[in-house]
Amino acid sequence: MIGGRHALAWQVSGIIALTVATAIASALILAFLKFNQRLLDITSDRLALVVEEVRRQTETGLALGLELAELEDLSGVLQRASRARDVERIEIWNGQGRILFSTQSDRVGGHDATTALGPGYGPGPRRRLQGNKLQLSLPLTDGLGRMVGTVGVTACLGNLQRSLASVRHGLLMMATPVVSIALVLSLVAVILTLWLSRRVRSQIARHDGGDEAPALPPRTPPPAPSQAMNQPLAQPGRLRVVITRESPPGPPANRGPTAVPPRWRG
Amino acid sequence: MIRDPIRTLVFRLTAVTLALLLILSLLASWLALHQFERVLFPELRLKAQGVAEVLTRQIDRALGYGVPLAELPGLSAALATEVAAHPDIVYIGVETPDHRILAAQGQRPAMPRRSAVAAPDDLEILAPLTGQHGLEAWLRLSLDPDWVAKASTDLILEVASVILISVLVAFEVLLLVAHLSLGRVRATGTPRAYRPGSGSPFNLVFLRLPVFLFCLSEEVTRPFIPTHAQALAPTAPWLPHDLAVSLPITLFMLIWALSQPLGARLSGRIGRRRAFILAALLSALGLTLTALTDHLLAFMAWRCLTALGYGLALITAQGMVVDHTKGHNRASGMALFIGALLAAGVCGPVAGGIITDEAGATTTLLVGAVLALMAAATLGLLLPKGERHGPPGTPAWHRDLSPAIVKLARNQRFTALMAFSAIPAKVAATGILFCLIPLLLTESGADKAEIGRVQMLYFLFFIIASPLAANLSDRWQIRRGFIVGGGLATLAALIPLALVDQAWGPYLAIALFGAAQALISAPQLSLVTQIATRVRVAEITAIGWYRLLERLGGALGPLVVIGLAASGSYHEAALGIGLVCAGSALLFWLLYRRASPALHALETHP
Amino acid sequence: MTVLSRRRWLQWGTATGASLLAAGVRANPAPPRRFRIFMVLGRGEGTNEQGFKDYLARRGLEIDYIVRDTGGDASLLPGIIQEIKELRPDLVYTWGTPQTRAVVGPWDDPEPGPYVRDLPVLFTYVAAPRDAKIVPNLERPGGNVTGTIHIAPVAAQVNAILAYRPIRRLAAVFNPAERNSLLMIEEMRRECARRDLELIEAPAPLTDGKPDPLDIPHLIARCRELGGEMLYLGPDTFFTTTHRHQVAAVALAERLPSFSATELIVRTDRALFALSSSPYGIGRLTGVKAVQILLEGQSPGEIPVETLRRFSVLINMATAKELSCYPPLSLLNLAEVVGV
Repeated sequence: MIGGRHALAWQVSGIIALTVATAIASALILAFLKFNQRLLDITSDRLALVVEEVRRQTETGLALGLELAELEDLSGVLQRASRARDVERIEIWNGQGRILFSTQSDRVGGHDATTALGPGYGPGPRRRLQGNKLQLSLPLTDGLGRMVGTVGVTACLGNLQRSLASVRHGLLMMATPVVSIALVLSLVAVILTLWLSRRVRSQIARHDGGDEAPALPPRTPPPAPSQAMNQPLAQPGRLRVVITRESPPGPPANRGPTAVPPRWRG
Repeated sequence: MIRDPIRTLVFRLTAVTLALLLILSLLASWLALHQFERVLFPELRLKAQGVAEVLTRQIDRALGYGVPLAELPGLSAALATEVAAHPDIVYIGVETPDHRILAAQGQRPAMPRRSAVAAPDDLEILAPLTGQHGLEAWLRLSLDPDWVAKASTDLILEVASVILISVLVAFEVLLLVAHLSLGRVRATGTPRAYRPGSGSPFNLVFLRLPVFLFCLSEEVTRPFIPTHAQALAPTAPWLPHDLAVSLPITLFMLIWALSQPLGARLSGRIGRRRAFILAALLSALGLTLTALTDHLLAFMAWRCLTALGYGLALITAQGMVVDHTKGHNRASGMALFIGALLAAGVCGPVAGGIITDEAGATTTLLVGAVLALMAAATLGLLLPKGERHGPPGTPAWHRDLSPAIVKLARNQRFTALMAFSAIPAKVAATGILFCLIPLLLTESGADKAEIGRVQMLYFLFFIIASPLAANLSDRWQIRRGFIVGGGLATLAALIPLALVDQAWGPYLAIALFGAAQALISAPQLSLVTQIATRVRVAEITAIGWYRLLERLGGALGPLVVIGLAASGSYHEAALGIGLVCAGSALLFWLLYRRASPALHALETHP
Repeated sequence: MTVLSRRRWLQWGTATGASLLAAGVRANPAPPRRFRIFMVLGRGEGTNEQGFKDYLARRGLEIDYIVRDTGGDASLLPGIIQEIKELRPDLVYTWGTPQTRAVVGPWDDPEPGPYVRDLPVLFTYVAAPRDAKIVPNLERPGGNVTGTIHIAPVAAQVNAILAYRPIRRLAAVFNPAERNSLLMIEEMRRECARRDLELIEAPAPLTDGKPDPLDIPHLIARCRELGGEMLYLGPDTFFTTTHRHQVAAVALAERLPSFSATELIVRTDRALFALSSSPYGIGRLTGVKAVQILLEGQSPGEIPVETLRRFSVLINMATAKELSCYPPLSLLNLAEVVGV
């Protein structure tokens, strides 16, 4: 038992401090998660602009009736588009995942089966996060309305992750003082409240040992005050402390150290 | 009420907690936002540069063909598209080198504008527009300096939710600790804290925390059960889709309703403590299995298991209340129990929504299982082992059932009350709150945290309106009127849900809905007791039947709602339910009215 | 005859052998068989035919092409049909409505004798095959005829017109002697009524059943006088192919912006803009259907008559400059620009 006469104060301030600290920590964690998401969204939006532009140019060529593999000037288009920040490579795959064009020329002709875009996903690019690589892809449709391939941009999120780490670090740095303030304030506030509530507590003391508490089973007779009086003698120290506390400069009706409830734990 | 002093103390301590939380979270949020802006802002700028490039390319192409900029149609439209697509860009304009504006969309922020992380220059992007003869104009983009703050509104809501949950949980724990610490409940007179097992008297407050934790375990699942069922529906393609979505909830309510009488008997036989712990373990098992399953049928089966535990635990808890109270303080005892339930109803959906959004439904279900286990543990620790079933005063309504129900059913007013008030109200409650709201909000793109918040509003407003309604109903002696008023208010409450498409629609609707339900439920109980007296049936029996029928209505709720939604949309289903409630309220008014003058006298002057 | 039957036997033999081979071997393109395709054209080989031939070559087919060009002279057609019946090619390719009508006849004609009904026929550059009674319906033509349409649906055309300029009055000149044009004007009439757009119809006066090119300036001037804000030029051979140069020049002189459903008059002359299919793309689409008939053995009746899904906007910038009628930025982004 957390001991001593201030046991209630300790316990209560402990609970409050714990609650406040947990709440602040949860709030910060939530904020960080949301921030993480937001940052990713902004970067995705930026890269979506790139991939949309490549798609538009490719489909203009396709609308002329040419087939994907026949569009020669695509390499130039891809190179220009890949100059955007964080972009690692831009590629065009055919319907079977074979790489037709790539800004990394050694990948052309290779295979990437994971890129196959299924039908029926929503508007906007499909977003895939793998490790620290973000991939956005869009389908390419020809003049007949058939999907003939996919264009995808792969970006390296190293910059992003560095930013995230710095923010995380900043938050942690900040969390420590905030939590310490929380602990100190809790203790102070609790002690203050308990001190200000001593009137209430004396009420409790008086009615403790009373009867109408709904929790009281009907058949147990209320303990007589005299019985109660026998207790404090076993713990004089506590009684003294309690007596000291229970002498407010208030109306005499509330006074009465002898009326101190026996089981009052101060 | 003598419990007041401790309550007062605990309320004050909770207020302290709230104040601390508000101050500190404000501080923490402000500092955090500062950090975020520092990183987000350069990214926003980069993106805006991308947008500027897209526009510049298009306009340069036109200029390259020799189209004069002033005569290029559709320039404003193109700018407007981009401003609309990117909320962080607040102004795009095309201006000549001598600052004459040719086309513009949006509002340029007043100069000079400084935010904490960006100099005024950083907030604007200028891109040259070149034609056949060199520079022809400038494209100017302005970023919104307050975008980061504005975009954080949902974060603010979540932080507020976290604060609310923490405060409520703190309240429960503080109450318990205060009671423990102040040695409430005694008789044997030790100066130390009450130790479980030291005797038969029992402070019902100790029941609050376990009940709170246990109800929380179920309430955290509220935001996502229908959408989860919807996602699992393809695993049982032979089941019609609507049934697949509503059946889990219906089965849950059904099993819950039916387990009550059986549970009462069981807990009486094996003891309240054991029964509660068993029930909590059952629920924990059910929730764990639900978390691990992938198939719709298994999902429904484990939900039924959880429902069994849920019903058993709740009826056991109610039994404990009845054991230790008598007539006059029974109401406050039940109020304690219901208070814990409602507090869980406020905390649970919000917490569940946040956890589901960040970590998935599986995690939330497992959290629920852990909460159920904690409920079992706390009860085990707090409740003395000697708690057998209580004195012969245990609810006798589970005996003597059949003759009672016949007598009740013959009473026209009872049937009217059940058929046109109690059951429709519960149908509306479970259908709208547990089934329609998650589906409707998910369809309009809300995340689970928002669903949880909306669901929380119901409980919150119910808690606020309920004592008020009970008070006024007693004071003015109006019972029928409140019930009918509540039915009509349900329709009024659901209209915003059906017709308004904005974000605030569901919030308003559910808040009013909670208040309307409070209006209805307050006087129902007293009417039931009056009928019981009239028909000469034990009050407890009548109430038992009333609750059972209510819950069966609750089981119907999801089916009705999904059935209505199948032929229309979710909005139309909401309107339909509202009309049903209003209609049955009016029918109730008509049928209940035809009472003999003597009865009327009895009713108005109890 | 003996040559033919031997040839046919050879073909069958190779076909069986090849299919056995193909059954054993996986992957790829075509069995080594030569097909014969008979082409009936109206204006010589163009980009369509190029796209058609390229596609079939890419698919690995070996084709012998037999090309007959009427050059607009309908009297040559009976002879061509006779030739088809004698040669019995694997596929007949017809370009344009007059040629197609002559070869396959109306589908509900009780006298099928003079027409080609027992060989697969693939038509292209027919604007309205159903209204021209070439096929009863577009999804499942049901007979031995299928093909491709090169004209964008009327709704798309009106969309393009309104996207360029939200006008209220559209003037249309057409040659009433051409069935294609009549049908297109009918559809335009319906579409304009739906859109609350006024259509001013200006048919060319006919002398001996033929229009006179000398009437062109007067006709277009009338359109202007009647308040037409834009000139519509449908798939009309007289106006947009044969006399396109004069038509475009007069429209320009009258300061009337002109829209065409075919691209030639914009690309090579001074009409303002067009919504058209890429001719190469149409050729490829026709090639796709040819492959379905030749390689996959599908009956033309099962193959739907289709058009491309995506159309190109072609804008003549020189005309736009002269008329001071510039396209909006959104349309310009999607368009191919000529005349710069």
